[in-house]
Amino acid sequence: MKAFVFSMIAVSFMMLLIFLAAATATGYAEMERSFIDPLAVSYASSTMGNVGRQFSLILLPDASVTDGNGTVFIRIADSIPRPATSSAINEFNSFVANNLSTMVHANITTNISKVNGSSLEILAADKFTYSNGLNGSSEMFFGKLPSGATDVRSYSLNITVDDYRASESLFIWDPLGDIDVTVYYFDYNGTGLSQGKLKSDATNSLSLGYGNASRLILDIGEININGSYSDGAIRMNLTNGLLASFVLVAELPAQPSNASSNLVFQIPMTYSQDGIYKAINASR
Amino acid sequence: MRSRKGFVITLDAIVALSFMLLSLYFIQAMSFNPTAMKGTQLKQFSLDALSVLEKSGSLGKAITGNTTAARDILLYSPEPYCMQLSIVAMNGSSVATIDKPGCMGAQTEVQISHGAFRFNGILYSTTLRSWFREEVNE
Repeated sequence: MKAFVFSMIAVSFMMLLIFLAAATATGYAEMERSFIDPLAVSYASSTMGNVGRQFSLILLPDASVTDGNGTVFIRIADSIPRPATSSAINEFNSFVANNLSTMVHANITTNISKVNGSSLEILAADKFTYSNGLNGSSEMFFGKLPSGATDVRSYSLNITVDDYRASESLFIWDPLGDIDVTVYYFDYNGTGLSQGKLKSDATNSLSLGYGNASRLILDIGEININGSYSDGAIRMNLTNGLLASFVLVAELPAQPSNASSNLVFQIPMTYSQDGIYKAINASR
Repeated sequence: MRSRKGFVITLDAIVALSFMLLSLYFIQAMSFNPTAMKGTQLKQFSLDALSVLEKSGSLGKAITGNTTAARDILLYSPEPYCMQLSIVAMNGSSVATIDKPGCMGAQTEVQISHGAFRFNGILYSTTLRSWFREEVNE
């Protein structure tokens, strides 16, 4: 009887150790899985981030949104017309679908159907629209679409044109205006400055004439876009093949805390690999 | 009779001890092996390094022939990590191959990370090979 009890104790102890070993092994495996499994998603994010940044380099102007003390500054450096992007987009799209997908052993798809040639629309701070070269035009616009007031406090614009200025028709300033405007224009004639106040709900224009009867027309205030009026907006239009680069800084009041300051564009992208599926809108 | 009883008890103790040691051996054999973790850590680090190389402009400089910045980033990675960056143009020609200094020799457990990089209108593919530095036995 005594021996039986001892044997039972020994067997119980042995079983306890075996169960302990099994539980430890299972625990370790689960711990390792909990560390490793999310990494596949992390790899996907890394690759998609890389692809998104390259699309940004091709598509987006040099733009930034800075949140100051009760003020938001949107800075955009760009040119009119925008550099041709169609071939670059198609080339990169093909590279992602074929080369990169093969290299990372994943299926990456990008939908570039919403990118129309050199046209691009960017949403900044959730409600402001910057567009440049939409539908092949030589026109830049910043304001609220489809309508509304930007409540912009100031616009600062530096324009560079590689041509001789033949004529100029400057803004008619309004001391009661609610937008501080500073426009520098650099060309073969030197540097011009136009500075003053404009009303955001009035139509205000500046026009510079260059060779081959080309013109640079700058509108600030109430602007009609496809029948809708945007107050406090800015639009620059170049005619007859004129080229210009510019840096625009818009000073806006503080935006709602939930406003997004991301600049985005429409390139839906998916990544799938061994049960991992991730879909994002390529953005910067 | 008493000596026989003692022998049985000793044998029983030896058998029990054997089972216990066997169990302990299994626990040790099945214990947490961090090799896989180290590999994924290295992979994660190499992806981050590739991103840093891209965002810092070091890849662009390397394409123009100045590999110092890219080499510095590789150099300041953790000491046990070895890395080799390759930049290849779309036509397949190698533009730059940059090694982390002091990382010659065999490459085992290599992690490979790929990316794309566009510079001055030309598309490049980037590959970062990472492995653990060989321990030198002195």
